[in-house]
Amino acid sequence: METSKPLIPLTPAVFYILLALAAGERHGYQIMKQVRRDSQDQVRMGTGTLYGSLKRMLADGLIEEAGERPDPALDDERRRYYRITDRGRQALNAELRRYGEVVAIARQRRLLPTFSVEPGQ
Amino acid sequence: MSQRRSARARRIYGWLMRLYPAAHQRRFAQQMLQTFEDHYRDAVETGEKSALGFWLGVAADTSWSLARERGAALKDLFGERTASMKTALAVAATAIGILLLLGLRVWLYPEVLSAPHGGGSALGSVVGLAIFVVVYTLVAVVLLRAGASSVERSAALRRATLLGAVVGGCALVAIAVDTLAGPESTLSLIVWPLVMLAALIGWGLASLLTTRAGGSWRLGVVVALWSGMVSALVAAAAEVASTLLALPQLAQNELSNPDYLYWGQSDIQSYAIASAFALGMMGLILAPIVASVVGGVGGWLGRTDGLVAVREEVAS
Repeated sequence: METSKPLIPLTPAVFYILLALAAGERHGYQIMKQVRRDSQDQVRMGTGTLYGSLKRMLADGLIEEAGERPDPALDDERRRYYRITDRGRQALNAELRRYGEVVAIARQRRLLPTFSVEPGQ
Repeated sequence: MSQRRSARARRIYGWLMRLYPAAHQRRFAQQMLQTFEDHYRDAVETGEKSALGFWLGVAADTSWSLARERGAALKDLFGERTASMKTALAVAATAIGILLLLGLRVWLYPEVLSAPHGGGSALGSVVGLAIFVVVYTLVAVVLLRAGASSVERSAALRRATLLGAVVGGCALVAIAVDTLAGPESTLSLIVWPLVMLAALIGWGLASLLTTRAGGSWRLGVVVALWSGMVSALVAAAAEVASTLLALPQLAQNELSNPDYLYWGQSDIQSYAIASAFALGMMGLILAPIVASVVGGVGGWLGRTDGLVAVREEVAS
């Protein structure tokens, strides 16, 4: 059920979940771990928060349940895998563009401190 | 040992899961339990976190998400029923208002309970009025629950409440005229029939239009009944309020009442209060009956085949 809600700005939880799913289908715990990694431990989601966010994202049409598990033989059948939808990808791209514009403005005004962050650390 | 702890942790989380709304549980309980098990294994069994730290995190996360999911479930419920809930609240508030007024009146003038009125004690009028108000509220809730299932019903009840409030407002004016000018005054003799006519036409039309707009004949009758109930509630509130605001005038009016003269009672004020309560009670009994009958006729006329039958009758 897609809604007519504006796609951006995204909440940190929704942003990081989309970012985690942009690389491929994942189940709940994989998403949880990926979010923690991508946010350099800044965003820690518990199980309750994660599934609340997933529920709202499903309702907004940002993600969907993947029909099949990547390896049914080795996997617990209770697991459900999620994948990003086209609408979700649009939202993620729009949010990343927005971040990019903010960074560009900050750079223009010489507000950015001189540091570098290695992705995935 | 570790397996036992793990099984216990899973059981505890399983119990916590039951606190979530049923729909959330149905959809996500199994997945959440699986994710919890993975998380517990990685965090506690590998020694990354202490059990206490892990459970504190779970408690915080569960409290937050429970509040959010319960809130969302309530929002959904009220979103669907907002119109119906507002109508119910308006009716319940009127009923509670009448009971409060009744209590205040009795508290200020407790003699009314023991004073004789008509053939018995005035206590009967007080208790009767209170019982009717409670019964009304219960009936209203039952009607509303039936109406909450569809938007059409909910909208029809809202319009019926508005009509009931208008008719009740007219009755309030008539009661004020009655009280201030006296029940035998010319003005009072004109106003009351007009109010009754307006009530009959209003209830009948409400039912007719509801049926014609596509609702069932039964819905038309329910709308008229609801409207009659709301009118009677407002009128009963006005009757009770008049005993608080204009007791001297009410007592004065009773002095020329043949009933009062016949029973020859000494306490005119308690007689006046009991009379007003009895009138309110009579309205609560009669209004829904009359409204249902008129609504039944209006609803029948509102049906396509009902109109055809009338036209054929007129043509012949």
